[in-house]
Amino acid sequence: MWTSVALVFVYGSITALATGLGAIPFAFLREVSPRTLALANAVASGLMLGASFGLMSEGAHYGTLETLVGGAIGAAFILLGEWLLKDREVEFGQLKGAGAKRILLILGVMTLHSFSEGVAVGVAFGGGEKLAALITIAIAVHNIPEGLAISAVMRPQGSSVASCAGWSIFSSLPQPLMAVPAFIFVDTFRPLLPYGLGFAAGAMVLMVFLELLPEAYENEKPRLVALWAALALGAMVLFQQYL
Amino acid sequence: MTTDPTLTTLLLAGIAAAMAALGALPYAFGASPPRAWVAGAYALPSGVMIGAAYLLGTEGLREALPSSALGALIGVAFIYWTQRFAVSTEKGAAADPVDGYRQLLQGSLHSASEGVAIGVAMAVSLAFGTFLALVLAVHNVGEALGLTEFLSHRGMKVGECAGLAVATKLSQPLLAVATLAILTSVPQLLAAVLGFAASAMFSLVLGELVPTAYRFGARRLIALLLSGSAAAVLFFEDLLL
Repeated sequence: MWTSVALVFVYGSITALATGLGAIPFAFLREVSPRTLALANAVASGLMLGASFGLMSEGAHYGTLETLVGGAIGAAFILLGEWLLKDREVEFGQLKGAGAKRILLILGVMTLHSFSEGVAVGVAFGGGEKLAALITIAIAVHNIPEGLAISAVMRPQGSSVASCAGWSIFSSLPQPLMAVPAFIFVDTFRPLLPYGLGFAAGAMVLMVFLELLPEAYENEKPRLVALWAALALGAMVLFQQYL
Repeated sequence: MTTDPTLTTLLLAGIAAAMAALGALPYAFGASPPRAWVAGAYALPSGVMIGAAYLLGTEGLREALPSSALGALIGVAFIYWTQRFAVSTEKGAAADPVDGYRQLLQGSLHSASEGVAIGVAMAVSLAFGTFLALVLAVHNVGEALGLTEFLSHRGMKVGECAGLAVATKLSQPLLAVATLAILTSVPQLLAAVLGFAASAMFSLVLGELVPTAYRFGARRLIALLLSGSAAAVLFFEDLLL
């Protein structure tokens, strides 16, 4: 039993570390112009919408209604977060203002939704080690674009690549932490999965339409925003399909 | 209702196109709706289309991954090309007769991909096609409201706005029937056309409808309507089909 628990923890940690890999492409991006920022927002929007599609269809396996309820809670969470941060001076490292707020929101969402991914890893172990290894690889690989999405928001605001990678990994730390209790109490946690998956999808979709896209349209032609977002979304969907 | 799929498609897509006239109705009473309504009129159909695109996309992936991906790529490229004809919807812009033709061209190209969507959904199943035609009928009303808002500010009469709104939607029944006919004789194209319709609708929403909605402010309302109506499509699809 305890060797299995240790294994679950190790698998969960692998998925968390994978998130940091998403920051790598940004090591090669030096200067960030408003138009690059707009396209980065478009790409992040596409990735997040694609991830939400994946989460929705995954959640629908367990129950569409539960997933949608989770989605509504996720959307409410973003609105609440925005409302709480509205009149407050937010600092994130050296960053201040709107950019810092956005970073805080995306990190909050990604970190919260990692709880349900951790649960997924833990629950998967209930179905045997082979399935667990498969799910772990799937979640680890799918975490890379999540790190990419976080970095696409953080890096243009002036965060260093190391801090992009560090915070990306941080956002996935709930995975090893949640995988263990989910594995031990697998029957208790399984019904919560669709809510968790829906929560992440709803929160990400709302964030895209509330924050990322409006800013993208301000600095770049809509048809270019649409092009990049659609390509990113397609890449994300393909990526999830091939796993 | 008739059970012949072609006739059903023509009928349903025709009704959907005719629904566009309803969008001009509020203006017939002389009242110009508040800006938030207009923003909503763009956001609501956008969410509906995103939900529909999701349904088409997952259907395509279930059929065959490589060909639906290829179709999706063509869809994105097609919409990127058609948006070259986009007309400036800035309020202060001067009225130009050429703009009218461009509006008709752009509107028709826009509706063309929606017609393909109805047709391909009909090819999947009668129920899915009917569902999508109804969804797009609702979306046509919202789009026509947005179009009338923009045209009436340029001095066009309400009746003419309604006529133009329906005219731009006529390519929906035409392409729906054509798509169904092609897919009935060449069913191998189904996955590719599903991918095309999904990505074309998504690109339309992000390249045209959503940016226009944001121009009317009410960012929070737009975000809520977009995600809410997309979720509603998924919910009803799950409930009905």
